[in-house]
Amino acid sequence: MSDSGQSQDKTTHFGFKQVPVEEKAGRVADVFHSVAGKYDLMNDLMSGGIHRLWKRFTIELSGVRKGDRVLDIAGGTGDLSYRFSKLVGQEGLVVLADINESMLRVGRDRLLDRGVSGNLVCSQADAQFLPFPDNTFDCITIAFGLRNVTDKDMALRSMLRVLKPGGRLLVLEFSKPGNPLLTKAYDTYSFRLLPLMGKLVANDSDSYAYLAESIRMHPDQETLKSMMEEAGFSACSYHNLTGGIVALHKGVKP
Amino acid sequence: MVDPTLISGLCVAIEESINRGLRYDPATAARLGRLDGRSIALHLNELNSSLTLMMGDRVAVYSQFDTADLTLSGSLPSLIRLATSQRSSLSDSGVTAHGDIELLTQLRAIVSDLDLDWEAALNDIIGDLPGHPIAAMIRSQFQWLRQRQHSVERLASEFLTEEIRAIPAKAELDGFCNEVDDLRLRTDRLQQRMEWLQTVQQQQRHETKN
Repeated sequence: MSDSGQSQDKTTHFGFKQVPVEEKAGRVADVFHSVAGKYDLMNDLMSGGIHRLWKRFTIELSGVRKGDRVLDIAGGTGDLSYRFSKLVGQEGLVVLADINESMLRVGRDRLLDRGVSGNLVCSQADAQFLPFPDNTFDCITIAFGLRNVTDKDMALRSMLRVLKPGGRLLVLEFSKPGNPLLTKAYDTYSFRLLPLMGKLVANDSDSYAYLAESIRMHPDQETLKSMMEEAGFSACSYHNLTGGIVALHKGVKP
Repeated sequence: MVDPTLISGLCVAIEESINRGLRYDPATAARLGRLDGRSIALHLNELNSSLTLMMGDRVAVYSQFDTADLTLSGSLPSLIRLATSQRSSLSDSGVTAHGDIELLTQLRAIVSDLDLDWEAALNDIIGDLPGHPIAAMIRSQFQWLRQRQHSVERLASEFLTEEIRAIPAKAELDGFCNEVDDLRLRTDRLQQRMEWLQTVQQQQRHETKN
């Protein structure tokens, strides 16, 4: 099955540009190498701190309990992993996974600085080819990461494989606002203010322009829900957050 | 439907308030820490929604949590009344409990010993130098108010019982209650004795016939 963003001649989108499929991962890696150091600061600036509430809602909906095994894909700077490590306790396990070495290093250092150890491991892993045995995790989260994956269908199938039966997948990702007025304000913000902020704070407007473009190319709420169902998840549903700017999708492995 | 972002924001605000308050009562914070991982859900009947408090080094507040150890359901006023009263029973409180009642007993014991060092909190905001005299003034005002409250209660009681005799005095009422109790006990004994005599009479009639 091919990625919904890929065309017949094996190209895929990288923001609004079309690039060969094999190039996308490298280009995305370059973006995140560039922003890793100031990723959290920029997230706070760009969202006004609301990304913390979105992540908090994800944790609530995850239903993670003591002793659970959790995989935090595209975990980046470890916001979700930190909370999960508290919830699963010493008898549980959290795997912080990211394809990008720079992001993973920042996340690992930050978690160590915050005293997280013993129940957390880091893994440099591609969401499309997760290096874990079948039926390993009680819960998988991927927050603001799925849109950067080259073949999303393959990634969803890979996540399904490593989830235990009854395990939950939670996808937190930018989506399509329902209100036309909000859409207009959001477009102006993303395409004008966001690159400007990227230039001022991180001296890197191109990377932040890519972030805005990649959000627009990401499947909307209903499309992502049907992609999860096609991958084999059941009881798929989603919650619109902040008027649909972000959506949290949830699916269960049957 | 309310946007989950707003609900999460509300949870963060409540969580921060609780944890900020607990900084000024380390003993209570430590006792709550010993309940690490235990959770109590407060279900508000009016809104048909729940808030769950998870105990630990920091108290965490969640809006979506399906398996709390203990769930208290009721209206907001009844839950507030329960939290602030000294009652040890839930009967007639308008609150129902499901789950681990022992956890409720433990929490009640912890909350009843809550003693926030509000002077330290005040000092953190305005500094030690102005904070201490202001705290001393507030303390003396509270003491004065408490004394006035006691004297108002005593005077009102005396006026109602002694002056206009609208209600009986406490001693009078206690005496009346004791007499009622005594009468009840004597009536019970008399009833038992009557029943015994009836039984004896029936036995004697039965023996006479034979």
